[in-house]
Amino acid sequence: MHASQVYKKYLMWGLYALLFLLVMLFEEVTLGRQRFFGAKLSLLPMVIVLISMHLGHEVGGLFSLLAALFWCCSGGDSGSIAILTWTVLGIAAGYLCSAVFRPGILPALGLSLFALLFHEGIVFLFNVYFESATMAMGRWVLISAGLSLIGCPILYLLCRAIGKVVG
Amino acid sequence: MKKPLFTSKIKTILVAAVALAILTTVAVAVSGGTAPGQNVVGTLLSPLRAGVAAIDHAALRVYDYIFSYESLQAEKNALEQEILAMQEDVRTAQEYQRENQRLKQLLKLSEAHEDYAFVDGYIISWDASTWRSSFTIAKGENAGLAVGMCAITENGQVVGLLTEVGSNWATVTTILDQSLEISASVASSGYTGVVQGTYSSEDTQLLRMNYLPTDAVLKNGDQVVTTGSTLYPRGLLLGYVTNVSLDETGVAKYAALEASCNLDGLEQVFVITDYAGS
Repeated sequence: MHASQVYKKYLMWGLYALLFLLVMLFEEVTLGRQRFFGAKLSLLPMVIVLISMHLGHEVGGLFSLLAALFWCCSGGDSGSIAILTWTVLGIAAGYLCSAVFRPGILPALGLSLFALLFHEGIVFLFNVYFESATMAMGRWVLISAGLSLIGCPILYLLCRAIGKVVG
Repeated sequence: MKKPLFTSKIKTILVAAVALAILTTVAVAVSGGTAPGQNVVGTLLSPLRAGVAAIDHAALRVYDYIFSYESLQAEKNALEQEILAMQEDVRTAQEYQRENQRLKQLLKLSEAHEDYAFVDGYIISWDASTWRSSFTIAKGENAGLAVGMCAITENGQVVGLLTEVGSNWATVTTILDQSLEISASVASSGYTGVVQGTYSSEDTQLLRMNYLPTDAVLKNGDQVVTTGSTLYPRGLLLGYVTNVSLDETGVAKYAALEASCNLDGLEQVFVITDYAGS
């Protein structure tokens, strides 16, 4: 591997990690205190999927695993669940984008919606069975997923821009 | 040629994910809620969170300035009128203040709270989960904070308890979080129970006081206060009774409470680090 390719590889990982960190801080600091119809927004599963779409299923899966581990170690809620769900989502998104879809805004929206429903749904079920949440509160999952999806186009464009910068 | 889905790398990643998920779950359970490495990551993230929080506050101020100019002008005019009225009130209040100081001296009320030692902390981030109500402040062990200490507002209303403490950060789980349970009593009647948060919807800040005796007689508006622990004093205001019912078992009552503190717009809390009974 040429030195320039190695440099580009590190640059790509650095930029995607920076994007993840910035979205995480934005979610915690700016959006963290806001509830919309009772639910909080969840951008991180979407970021994981969008990044994995560009990285492919092997590298995307590894990135998702490391990102989830960082989220868990930062004290993020349901960190252990995120390690599993984000990794699976990263692998699935990366694979689907290379084998089934061509990367584009519509697959990005579809995969993001699936990612949000999958991750938030599992966290919700965990809260139902191990905490005292009720099934009726499942509407918050739908609200959270629906509203979070508004951020998908911007995040998709950012991920694509990073992909193009690195080549 | 497309790669197959389950390559050896993918299998390794999945096995690592399962192992790490189990490991972190066990580690969190053993350590009482703190994830492995949370102190290190939290310490590194704390200045970043504080920086983003400062930018966020500055942006909010600019937004308010741009989009609330007319309402601010109207508010300014109203405030000018109010100031004139208040100046007269101040003169009266100064007389009351002198009288109050004498009364405090007489009743030694001041002694009741002068033993409190506070550490103030600005909120730098909130838990992003729908199912939690907690936030991080930019003070930690270095400032003398410890798990279990109580965070209050400047008016003495309980905000929550410190559940995780790092070197320069601490997590305050608010009284609205359903995982937090605080021993409490009704100030007027002395009934004791356990106050717990509920899953709150958008505009509600409801608490629940469990394990009240079935013959307990409570009135709406009764104040509920802490019964104290080794880490925080008794008599701190938690909320006000809004409703009383029999619980699901039918052998105890519970009271619905309205939290005394308002978390919307909360920027700074005060942690009680020491008091006479500690």
